[in-house]
Amino acid sequence: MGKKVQCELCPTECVLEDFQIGGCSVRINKGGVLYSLVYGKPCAVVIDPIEKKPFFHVLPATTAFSIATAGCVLGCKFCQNWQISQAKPEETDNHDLMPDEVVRQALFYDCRTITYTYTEPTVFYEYMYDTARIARRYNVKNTMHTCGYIKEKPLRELSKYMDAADVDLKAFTEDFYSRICGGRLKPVLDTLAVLKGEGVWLEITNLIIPTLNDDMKKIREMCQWIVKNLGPDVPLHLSRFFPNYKLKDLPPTPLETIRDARIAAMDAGLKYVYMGNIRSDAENTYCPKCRNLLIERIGFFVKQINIAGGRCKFCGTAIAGIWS
Amino acid sequence: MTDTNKFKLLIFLTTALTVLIISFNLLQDYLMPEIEGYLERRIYYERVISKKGLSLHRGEYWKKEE
Repeated sequence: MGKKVQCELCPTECVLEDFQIGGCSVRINKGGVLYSLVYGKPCAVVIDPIEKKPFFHVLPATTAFSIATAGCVLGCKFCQNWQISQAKPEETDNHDLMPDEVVRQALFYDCRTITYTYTEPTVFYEYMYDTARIARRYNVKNTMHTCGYIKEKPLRELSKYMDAADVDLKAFTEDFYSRICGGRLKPVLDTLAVLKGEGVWLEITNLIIPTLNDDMKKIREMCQWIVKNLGPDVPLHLSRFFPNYKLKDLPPTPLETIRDARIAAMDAGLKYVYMGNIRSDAENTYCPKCRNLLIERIGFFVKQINIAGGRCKFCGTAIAGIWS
Repeated sequence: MTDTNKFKLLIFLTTALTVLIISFNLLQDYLMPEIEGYLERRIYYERVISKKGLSLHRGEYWKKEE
């Protein structure tokens, strides 16, 4: 029997015996060496509008070549993609798509970005990292939608090639992370700070779930933390929850809750606060100075863009984001 | 073989068997789960994972346990 190994990719830090697979379902100790089972084996390959990630301040109205493998570092009871995130790679239908082929296809389909998304990209770290390095050479931007549950060292290395990250800040209490997700809040906050420090463009998504994380006091605290530690320019997507996976007994989030949370976020000083999974004018981007409409959206469809050279067309105010 | 030798052989075998049984009873709690677990994992890998055509790409960010 081989030696035990300890994974140092995510804060769970699994210790694995010979032939044991980590909590993420995709990393195995074989003979005292840790291997990834999903390198070049995505189970989801889709071309999406970048607004679907959601990125509202990154190359609007362009498409993102989106990939995911099976597995996740957390086990959120409300997961929207649990069919693949909570699956083992031997249970999913996988493509054969090596990093250079991902970039080639992204270029072929005229995608300005590659997004590592749907499940948790940390679990396919090596695959994402190698793809991102090649993509950078061909001027294709790299973006990821992540839960932020990753250790500092690999994150800093990845940040060299990552242009933007949408981080799920699932709640602002350790209790929620522990009971509902099987993780911890602190490493996620650390990730946000590291990404900001490394100059990766940040957007944050917060899914508001009735009775579990809809306490306005905590939402206010979260927004104040964002403003203080990451700045007021970070877009915040407040998303409506719909019953799913292990939380089918809860109702969808009332519209008033999302509206109240948006007001609280704007009161805290955030300039760009969006409501997700709801059709409303809170899907649009407005100039924080002159209040004119900058980007009009209907769902993931962009109707008009009034930003030129990263500035408001009406008053010339610089709008934070990646626009070219 | 004389009766004395037969008797000595019987005593030897009985002692060996007793020692083996006592050792097994004492150590099974430590050894059996580890061996059983290893065999289960190994069989699952050989029968399921290795037949699925998944890659084995050397991972980054891990260390050998001391």
